[in-house]
Amino acid sequence: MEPVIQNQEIPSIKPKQKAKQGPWGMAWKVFKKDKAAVAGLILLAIMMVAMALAPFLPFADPNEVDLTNRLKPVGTEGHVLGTDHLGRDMLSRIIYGGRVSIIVGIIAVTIALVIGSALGLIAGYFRNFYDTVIMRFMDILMAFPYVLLAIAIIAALGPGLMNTMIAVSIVGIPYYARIVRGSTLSFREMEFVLAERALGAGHLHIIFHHILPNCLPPIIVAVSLDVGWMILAAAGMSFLGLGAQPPLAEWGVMLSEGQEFIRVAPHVSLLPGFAIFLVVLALNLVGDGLRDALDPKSK
Amino acid sequence: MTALLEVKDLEIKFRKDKEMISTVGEISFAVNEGEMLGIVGESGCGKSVTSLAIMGLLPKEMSQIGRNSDILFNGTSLTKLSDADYRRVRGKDISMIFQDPMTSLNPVLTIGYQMKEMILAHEKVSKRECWTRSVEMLKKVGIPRAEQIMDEYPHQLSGGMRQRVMIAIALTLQPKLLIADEPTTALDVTIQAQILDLIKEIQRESNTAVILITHDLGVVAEVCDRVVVMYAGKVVEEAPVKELFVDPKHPYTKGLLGSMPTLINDQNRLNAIPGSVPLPEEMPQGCRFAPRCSQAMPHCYTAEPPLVSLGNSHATSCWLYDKEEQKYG
Repeated sequence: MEPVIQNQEIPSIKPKQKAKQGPWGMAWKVFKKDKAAVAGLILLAIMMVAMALAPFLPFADPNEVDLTNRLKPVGTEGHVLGTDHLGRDMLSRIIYGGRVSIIVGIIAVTIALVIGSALGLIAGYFRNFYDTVIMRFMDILMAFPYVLLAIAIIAALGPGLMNTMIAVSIVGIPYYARIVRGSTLSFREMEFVLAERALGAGHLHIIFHHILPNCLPPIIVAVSLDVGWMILAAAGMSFLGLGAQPPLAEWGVMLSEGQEFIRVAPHVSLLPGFAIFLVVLALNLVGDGLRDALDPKSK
Repeated sequence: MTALLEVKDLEIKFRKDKEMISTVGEISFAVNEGEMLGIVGESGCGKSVTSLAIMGLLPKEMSQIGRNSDILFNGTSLTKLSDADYRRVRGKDISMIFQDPMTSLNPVLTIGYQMKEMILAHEKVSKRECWTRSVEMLKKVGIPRAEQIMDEYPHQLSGGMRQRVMIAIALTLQPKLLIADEPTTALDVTIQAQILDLIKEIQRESNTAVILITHDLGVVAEVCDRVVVMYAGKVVEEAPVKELFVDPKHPYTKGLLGSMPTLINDQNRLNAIPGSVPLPEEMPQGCRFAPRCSQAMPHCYTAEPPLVSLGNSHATSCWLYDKEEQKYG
């Protein structure tokens, strides 16, 4: 009898890949199973790519006025989504408007996230005096209705896209401060913090290298849900005439410009509204998926 | 032999409703270089609090160290160190490992990161050197495939492995003193023995002094050189390990040893010391053990017994062994 397996390649076992899988790898596994979240992610990816590459794609100039082609309906030749009251191409305006809205949303969230998390970490880690001062101030911010607070801040700073961004991010700070403080409070009592101290680590090192990474899951979920909220809030401010100013293509501005023609040409205001709806929906789906994937209780 | 660590009249008070309550009352003991000292006592007797006080890790807003207390390490007083100086001592000169290896490693960071960080907190060395030293240390504590484990997360390791990693981290910088706060309580019995052997072996090899805090007399008998028995925040007896087991003096120590099951006698019931440890705010006036002591004398209820030396580095704080008292009693 000849040895049968002489020339056969023995399949090598690769334990490495499985061993390498950290907490993030496991979260991705759970996330992948959530169909709605994956759909949201794909939708978001398509929109982001289209918006990022808009200048290189064959879209019309979003600000090119063509008064002979005003308020053309959806499906017109040369203007797939029609034109607005100045004959500007709707598709192009929505895509360029999305760039502004999404960037505003992301930057506003980033500002709120950085300041809010820092405050939350300090309050939760050092407790006592810091906690009281910071969290009572956050309570004051939270006590205002958010639109009122945002309007008040814009009233103080003056209208404009930049100031809207600052206003909505200030409104968002307490949200992050609370989330991060809550997690920090629970992690600071963990034995590994004591162990780190016993091995000579300083407070700042422990805060940023040990507590912050543990707080990331709730922060990521909050961010994904909050970007949508920020986009909505910024568009709302623009709709009220406090944010982006015409002729800039921005969804809130387009919505407010289009409302005058809602009877003769509903698409001019409905389409930007639908765009906002789609983005916020996609972000919320992704956020829900992330929450399930990162929440230790759901496992 | 010189004393590496000297704890002098250490008193620790904790705040409770605006009042300061003394939990550990003026205890003194010393650890010699390269010695393994066991601190034994039941839960809540102040073992862990004492070790945290040595590390300077008691929560400042909640606790206070007595005015006459002093902790000398290599001749320098730790209680007078600034926060920054204390941090330099921790990990480099005195290291500590904790009871539960499941929670004393950060779950979201790799083992390699946590080892590297320990070195970088005290020394300026290249990443490469950090890595080689970490791997070396992991191998030293008996971890197989150390290189791979550097990239793994704590949840991928078993409890015993994690405790080995903790020991490796604590000993990377070759501290002179290691405080092990019940290092084996959370582990399986078979793993317990391995970890104890490991600590003992490393202690012998590198001449590190070890304070082993435990409530398990079996552990003490196995590895320690000297034992301090604590009861309700007081040192009741101090003796070389053999002497303590052969000839215990204090009624509490006798009770503790008597309550251990033996293999020789066929016992149906285990002996127990009647009563329980008094609460810190309800400490009795005289000897803290008097209400539970079978040999208590009237005197025991009124005055605290001093630590009486019985020679042969054996000491106990009990009126039964006080010469003056014996004359009258």
